[in-house]
Amino acid sequence: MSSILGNLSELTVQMVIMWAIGGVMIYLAIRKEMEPTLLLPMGFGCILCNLPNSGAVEVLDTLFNAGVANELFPLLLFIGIGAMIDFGPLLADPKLLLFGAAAQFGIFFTLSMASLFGFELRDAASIAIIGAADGPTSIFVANTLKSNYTAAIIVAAYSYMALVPIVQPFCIKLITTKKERMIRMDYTPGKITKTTRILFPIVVTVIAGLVSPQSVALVGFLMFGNLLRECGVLRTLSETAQNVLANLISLLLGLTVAVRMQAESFLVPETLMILALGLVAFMFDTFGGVLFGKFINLFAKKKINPMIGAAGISAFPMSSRVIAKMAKDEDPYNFILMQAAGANVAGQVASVIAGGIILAMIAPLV
Amino acid sequence: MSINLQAFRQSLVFMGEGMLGIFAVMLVIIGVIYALAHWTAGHEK
Repeated sequence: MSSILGNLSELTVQMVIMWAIGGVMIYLAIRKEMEPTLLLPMGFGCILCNLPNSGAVEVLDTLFNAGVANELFPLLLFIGIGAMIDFGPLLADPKLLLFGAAAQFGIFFTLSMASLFGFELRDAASIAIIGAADGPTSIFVANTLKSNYTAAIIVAAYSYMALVPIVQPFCIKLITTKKERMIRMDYTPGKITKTTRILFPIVVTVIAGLVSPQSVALVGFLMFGNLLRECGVLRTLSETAQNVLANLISLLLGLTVAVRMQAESFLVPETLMILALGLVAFMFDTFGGVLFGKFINLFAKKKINPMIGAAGISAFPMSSRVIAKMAKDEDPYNFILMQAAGANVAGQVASVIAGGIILAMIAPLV
Repeated sequence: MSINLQAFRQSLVFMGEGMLGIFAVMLVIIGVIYALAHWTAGHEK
């Protein structure tokens, strides 16, 4: 009896706050269906690891060292994601890759902002990568740079990805006119040969490897997954990667990351700052993409709807759906889903490459 | 948490290099896609 009461006496207010945070994550996952594959295991893990003398911490710490600290889980998850992506809309109109590049502006802007607010370079770069809107890339970069705030970064990355339908329309309306949002675009896709689809992942891997060898694992695993999908002779493997592998890793990843959400390291003022900077990253990604679209319109004969620039982030297909819906809300006969989907897929490639560029620039300095 | 203007100024270099770098990589990939499409279209005929 005394041992039970003794354990109870070690319960702190901070632990109870972490239970509440875990509870909110579970609520958002179940009731709001916000990134449930990750928020639910993370929420439960958060409660699990914040019990006094929790025996789960040691087990999850072992899993963390085996799968997250060495970047194994995010890389394996990338095989699944690669197998899910159809690069068709992008290959049909490769120019859309430029929107993917422009919409990474939030990453580099946030790097400067985090530096301004006194974060070490390794932490500033890891916080900035929240703007990649790509969970596995955030985990990979934060771990490679050995950031002190990995858990807060992951929570911010996944939370804001789920908030794309709220953040992006607000930002787009701030910097576009109704007339711009009503611009219609013709969709005349080029023909994509099977050989192009097969060679694309191989060529992108080689280019990324030459530009940024630190990130070649990230790009390579993504593109390997895509090659499984496109080669046409490994259907079972492709389906396994898309379903079994991606689900299994997501399940372990969420629970494992929660071990870094212990009250003493998570409930610090920096966590709030990271959440705020994550929002800045997402907002400036959107501004970057849209303003690039407006810039192109200064010269283009055929005007483009600048909203598709906002879809150049990695949150697929959520972002492209949001943009297509916004266009339809302004003009019921305006269909820009395919162009937005192309920009969105471009964002998936660009975010991984941006992660690689961040590593190439920052890793040698820390 | 304090304001660090010197670190901010240094990070502006990363912003410039990073954006230039990502646009450069994307332009290379665009070129490669067009080249692949051109080459494979003739090849698959």
